[in-house]
Amino acid sequence: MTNHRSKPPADSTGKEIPGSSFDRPGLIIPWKDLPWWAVIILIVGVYIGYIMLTNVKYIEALTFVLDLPWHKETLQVDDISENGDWLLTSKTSLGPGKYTLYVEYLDENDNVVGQSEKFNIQITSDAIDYALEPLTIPSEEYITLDSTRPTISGSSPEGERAILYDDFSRKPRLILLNIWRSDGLFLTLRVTMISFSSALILGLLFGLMRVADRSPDLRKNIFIRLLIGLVMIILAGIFTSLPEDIWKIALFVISVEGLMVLFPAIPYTLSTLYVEVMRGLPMLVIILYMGFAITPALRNASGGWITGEIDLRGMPSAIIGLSIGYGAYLTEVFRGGIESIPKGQMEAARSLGMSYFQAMGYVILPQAIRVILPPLGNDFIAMLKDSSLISVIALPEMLQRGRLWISRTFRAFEGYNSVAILYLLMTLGLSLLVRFIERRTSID
Amino acid sequence: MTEEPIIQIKNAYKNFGHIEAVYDVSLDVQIGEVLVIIGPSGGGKSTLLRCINRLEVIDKGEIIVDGVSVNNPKNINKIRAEIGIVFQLFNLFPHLTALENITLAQQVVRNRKKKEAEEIAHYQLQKVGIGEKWNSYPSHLSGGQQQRVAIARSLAMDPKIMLFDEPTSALDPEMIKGVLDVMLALAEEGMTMVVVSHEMGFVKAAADRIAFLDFGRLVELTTPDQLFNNPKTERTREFLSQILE
Ligand SMILES: Nc1ncnc2c1ncn2[C@@H]1O[C@H](COP(=O)(O)OP(=O)(O)OP(=O)(O)O)[C@@H](O)[C@H]1O
Ligand SMILES: [Mg+2]
Repeated sequence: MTNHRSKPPADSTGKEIPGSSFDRPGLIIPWKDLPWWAVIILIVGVYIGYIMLTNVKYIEALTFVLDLPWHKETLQVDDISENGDWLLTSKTSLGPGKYTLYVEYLDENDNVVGQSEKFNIQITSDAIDYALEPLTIPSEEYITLDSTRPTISGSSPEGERAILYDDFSRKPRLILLNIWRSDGLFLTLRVTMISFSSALILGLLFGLMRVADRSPDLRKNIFIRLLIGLVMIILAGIFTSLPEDIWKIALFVISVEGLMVLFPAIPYTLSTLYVEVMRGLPMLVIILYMGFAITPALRNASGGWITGEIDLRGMPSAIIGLSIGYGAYLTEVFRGGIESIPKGQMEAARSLGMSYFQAMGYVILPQAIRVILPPLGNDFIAMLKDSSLISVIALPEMLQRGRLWISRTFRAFEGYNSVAILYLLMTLGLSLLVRFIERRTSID
Repeated sequence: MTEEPIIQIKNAYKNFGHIEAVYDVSLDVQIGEVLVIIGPSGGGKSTLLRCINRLEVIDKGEIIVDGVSVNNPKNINKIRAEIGIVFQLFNLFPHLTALENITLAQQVVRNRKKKEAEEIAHYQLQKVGIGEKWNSYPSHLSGGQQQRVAIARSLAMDPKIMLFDEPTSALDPEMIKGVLDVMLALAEEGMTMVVVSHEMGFVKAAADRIAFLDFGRLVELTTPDQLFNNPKTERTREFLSQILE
């Protein structure tokens, strides 16, 4: 025996303990899954983090980019009078419920120099929209009001301006609601998650179409299809005015019936077309298209109904753009996953009497999922990064917030650094997670 | 026999491009009969077997199973549920345990309750001799055990016909007997079986008739005695001398 150290430890009976020496119980940190570069990045990260968190400008930039909505909502801002008195009426109407209001005092440079005590109020369900006599004495108990726009007054020894805040730090539901509404980090995460979910659905649907028969038997059920085509033509004739010209009618009939004849081949053709077109377009072009070409065109075509009744501007068009763009990539991921499952699996399932879709759902897809989980994770990370592209349609996600902060402070370095660091934190964390999943699924 | 044959193959043809995998084959299988198909590699044995449950679709001719034509069936899934097939490479579902492998189709196709399906699965596993392995995943089972789970999976559907495509040729020699015993017991019970196999022990013990396929053509179709002792063609004699060595 030449190398004693490489031998696994032996137990008292002299038999070797199975498994590697990494399998010690009690170690929660997955050392095996933590690559060496992660350790280096961790060290560098701690260093950079220290520098940033001890620098006021970075903190300012990070807070602005993160846009954390933890505990307060501005209700009104006003100047404090010469003698220090202030009087603030909530600008927006408050719904029925309990509120904790307080005022913060700012100096001429907008630094916080103090704050009032808290006013606890309760707005009744039949409250009406009017401003009440000002409340002057803060109270621990809830004061019941029948007004939806409370007025609060007091006096401040210092400060130039006063901000009336609604403090909701003890209301989890409101915090969640504000996370849902907030910009910056949460907008980025929101857009990514919604877009990725819908891209997953698109990917699955088109992926299933991609693995459909590419040269199906067009003769099968052809008469039923032709009949359906005929019914559609007749319905079109009844509900819309067909062109007078006999040639145009003939062309219409031939196109409809032609499509019906080709129908079994359409899923594969359509999904291939979708994949090739979408993968051939830069993401930026797709998003600009959605934001500035498709949405206005839809508004015009629908007589203002879309973006009137249904508003597609802003986030919806960004989400649609990202989803259909990434749907194409995910389609290929799903196709690859499904095709990686041996043919015998489908045959065994079909031989037992399962339909094609039952076999897909119970036998093929559950196995394919294991194969495609890592590439899906990678595409999620890619989408998280690409979500910064939606700043071109002026959505205040992380990058846009960073640029906004830079345009106010002219500190490009701190601004972009903060944005970059936040993206890196998320993407590096996620890629560690993907590695972990990769190891896990490749074991069995 | 006066009864209608349960499988009728009438002048079946199947081509893969220029390859004639099945060429003008006609044969009947009676209820309770064990038909063994032998022949050289590439002779079309698998293809013929797969045509019976429409895993391959014949180009010409007709195949009738249990009175229903599989050429243009209204409900192929219903017919397939009546025909069990056991593959050379088992084709168990690797993401499911032995028990789940057997209950899945019962629940999905036969609409059995989970509990009922599990009872049947346990019974079938017991019958093929690996009752204690019900909770193992296929990757933790030996080849012979996997093949027996595959047989149990088919039997749990209460098939009228069982097809076997070289069920032991991917197994280590010491595993073969266990699987053959299960098949012999099944033949004993009167199951209608079509078996592609070159296991002479099984052929002699169980086969009612033997079909010899070569180049997709049905060269001979007789009883084992006839074939072994008095083969009609030179080709058969040659092939038999090879496999009986
Ligand atoms: N899906 C397919 N595509 C193309 N050719 C095929 C296909 N399946 C079978 N063949 C061809 O058809 C012929 C018959 O094949 P088959 O698998 O039925 O033979 P076999 O008798 O089962 O052989 P073996 O003993 O090797 O399993 C072979 O020449 C084979 O190459
Ligand atoms: Mg074969």
